[in-house]
Amino acid sequence: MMKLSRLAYLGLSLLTAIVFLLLYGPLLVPIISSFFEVAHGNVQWDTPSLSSYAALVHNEGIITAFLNTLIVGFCATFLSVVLGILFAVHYRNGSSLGRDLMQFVVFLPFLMPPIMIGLALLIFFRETDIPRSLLTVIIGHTVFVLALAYRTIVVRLQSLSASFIEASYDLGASSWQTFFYVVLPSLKSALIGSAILCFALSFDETMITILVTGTDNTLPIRLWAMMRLGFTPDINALVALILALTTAMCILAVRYLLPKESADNAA
Amino acid sequence: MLLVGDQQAKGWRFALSTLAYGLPFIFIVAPLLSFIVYSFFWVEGGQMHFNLTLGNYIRFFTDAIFIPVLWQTCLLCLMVAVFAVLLGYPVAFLLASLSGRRKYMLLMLVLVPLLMSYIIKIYAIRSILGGNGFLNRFLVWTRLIDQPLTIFVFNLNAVLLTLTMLLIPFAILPIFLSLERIPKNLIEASTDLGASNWQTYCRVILPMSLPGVVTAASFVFVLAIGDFLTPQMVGGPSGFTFGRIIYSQFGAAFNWPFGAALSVILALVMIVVIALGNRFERRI
Amino acid sequence: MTIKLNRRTALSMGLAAPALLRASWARAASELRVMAWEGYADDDWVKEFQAQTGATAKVVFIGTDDEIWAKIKGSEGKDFDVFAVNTAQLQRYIDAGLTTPHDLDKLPNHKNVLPRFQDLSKIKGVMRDGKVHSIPFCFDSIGLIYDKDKVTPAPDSFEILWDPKYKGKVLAYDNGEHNFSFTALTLGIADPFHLSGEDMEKIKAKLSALKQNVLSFYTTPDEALQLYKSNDVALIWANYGQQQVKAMKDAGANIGYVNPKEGALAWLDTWAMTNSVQDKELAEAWVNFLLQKKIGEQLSERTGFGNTVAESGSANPNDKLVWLEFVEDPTKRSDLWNEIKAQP
Repeated sequence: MMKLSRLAYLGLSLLTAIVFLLLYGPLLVPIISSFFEVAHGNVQWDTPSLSSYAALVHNEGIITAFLNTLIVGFCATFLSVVLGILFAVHYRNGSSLGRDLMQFVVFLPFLMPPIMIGLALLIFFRETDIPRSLLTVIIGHTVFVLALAYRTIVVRLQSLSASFIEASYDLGASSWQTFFYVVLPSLKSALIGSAILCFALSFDETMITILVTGTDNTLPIRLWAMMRLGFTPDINALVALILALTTAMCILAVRYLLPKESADNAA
Repeated sequence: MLLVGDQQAKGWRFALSTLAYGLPFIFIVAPLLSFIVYSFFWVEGGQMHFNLTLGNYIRFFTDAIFIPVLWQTCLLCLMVAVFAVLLGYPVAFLLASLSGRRKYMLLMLVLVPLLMSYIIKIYAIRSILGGNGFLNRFLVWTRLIDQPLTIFVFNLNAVLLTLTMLLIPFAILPIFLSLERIPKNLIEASTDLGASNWQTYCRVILPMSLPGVVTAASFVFVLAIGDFLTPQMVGGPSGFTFGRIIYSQFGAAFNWPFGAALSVILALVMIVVIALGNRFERRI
Repeated sequence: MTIKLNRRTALSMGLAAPALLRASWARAASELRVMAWEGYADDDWVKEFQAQTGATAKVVFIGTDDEIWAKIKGSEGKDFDVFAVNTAQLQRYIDAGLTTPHDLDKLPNHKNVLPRFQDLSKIKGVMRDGKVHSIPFCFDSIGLIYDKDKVTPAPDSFEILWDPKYKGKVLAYDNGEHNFSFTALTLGIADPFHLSGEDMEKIKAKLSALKQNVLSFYTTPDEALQLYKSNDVALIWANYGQQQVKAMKDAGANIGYVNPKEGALAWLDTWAMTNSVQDKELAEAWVNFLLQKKIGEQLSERTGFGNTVAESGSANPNDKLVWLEFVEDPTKRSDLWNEIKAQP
């Protein structure tokens, strides 16, 4: 990208700071509260303590729910990215009518309200005797976020110049080699980007999960049920920990996966 | 064309086609189709009648409340999409013009809030915007206002504000990806030919980033319009959206046929809006 | 509604096979699948039950009546063994054949319940054709919470919710059925659960007026508390009765609770078994376990609800309570409520 003038840089930085305030502002509430005693929903500002963290460690239910959320998130993300690649390749190769139809079908669950997808899938699982469990949750999430992965990947794939692929064949590579060594690397940013968005959507997905889960709980389900009696203080601790963990993972990922020189060329 | 040429590839292409058609058919078409068929049934006095009728769709057009609410909801979500893109574009641009680790670091920091539970975020936003909330207390403390204002919450403005805050990251990423894709040599060429930064931006960068903008806007629009929880929690008496109507059909009202019909109509509206967006992008 | 296509059935069999294997292995060990409101299946009770019976209990918590219906009807009862439901809502489950009647012989603790809950034939909605479809567990009234500092003297009727003096300081509940019922009582209509078309129009007009006076609608008790804390609220229509009162008082609010003179709605939550209950003995054991005195006392202490085995401080005997019944047309009430909400 181009070099920015000082003024432009300052202006953009200011706007970015405002956006960050909007993004992180609401999170400060539970995070700061996690470091204080909470009695009956009121934060006791004069009693700093780590009791919410202690309570979190003992709350097996929430920890299990959180782990379930992670499992579902990773599986659904993996499946939707792989399927997204599959469908994107097929779109590029396929016949005009067939591929538009396929694309329409892939987009459909994203466009329908989640409660309808959830009910439709529940009835479908019931009719085909697939017992409700984390597996059905994973299927439900994949069906929902697939459109996101597919759209991001297909847009990137379409802009991939045919000449690269032809050159690869000309140099004697087989289809598979072309796919793995030419196509896939150029999709890297789209793959990572869509993986992150899919994981984020799956992490927070409540409506479909509530309907197709049977007896397993995920974190959004527990939070949804907690809306009745109020969030327990360990939830504040959980939010703070998730934030700390993901930020730490990002710092580590950027530091170790992106050596300084190649980061400049990565795109 | 990918996967062409060798015989082995032919077999894989067939497998690919089967999967590409088979999987969506099983897990998407079958469940949704049977549910869409529901939209042609009807409910009377708490009992579902399994004979086909267009009654639900006719009701949507004839009953006075549905079209105005749908229209209002679409306008609201379009505004959310516009605001999210307006706020997200500068951030994406700044990110794209950074180099090295700082770029990805900042990008990650933009995406991290997405992993914070959205229920908790709405709760936090609602308490910040409330009469005794942080925002009002801050404004009173700085003497900008004398009494706490009730305009921030429990109305459509609150829904607009909250949805925008929640969905900005979904706008930033697609725009960022499309900015990154712009070949550097095009920009360099433009500067070499004597264009100022602003001209380069308007003539080269902006048009090439539009596909990303349209993608961002459509993601945000779809996510906003399907969300019923935010309007439910911060919308109050006047922030009534189409999503809330749909949601209520699937509860004790037990009017799944009507809910399915409304969902189909909503999906059609979304398809139209997104198609219009794509058309607009192609014109430019 | 089954769609039968040979190819699809074969395909789904193929896909379902590994899942079924996993499921059948799971069924070998005894498992109870419970659907409950928060507060009805606390961790310590579940642990004790599991220790006593040697089985595992998996509890899923829900937040609204709508969810219970969506999940149980959607799966035709196959996903759960026992669920908590109030007597009014129970009717639609019995109508749809989604329950299995209880066998009172398997519930020895039922002899210990309070006298007024002993004779199940006297409790409306619990029995159908001589069979007991659910066992009462806890109850409460739906009264009026008022802020003692902002509202003096203490109100005695729901009419105060319409008082323009409290415009923008009222919280109402987001549910068509209950709102129509209580407004019917306020208007003096005798049977709030079987309204005529004419009555409904009158109530609709009155509720539209209420909407102008309301700050917001809430769905969960904690939500009402949060709204109270961050805004200037004087009156709350308390759908969750004592549970809300307790939570608010614990949080330091100076509030009072009153069951209005025209009558307050009251709900009675019960435990029912689904039509697909896997282990009936285990399900009965669960209900029996919860009918113990100490569980009842803990329930009342932790949530503030009235329980069926031990006396608790809920509801003054002189208050007029109108127990919830299944309404004449839930769909119509929901539609009318949407219309009221859609008005500018």
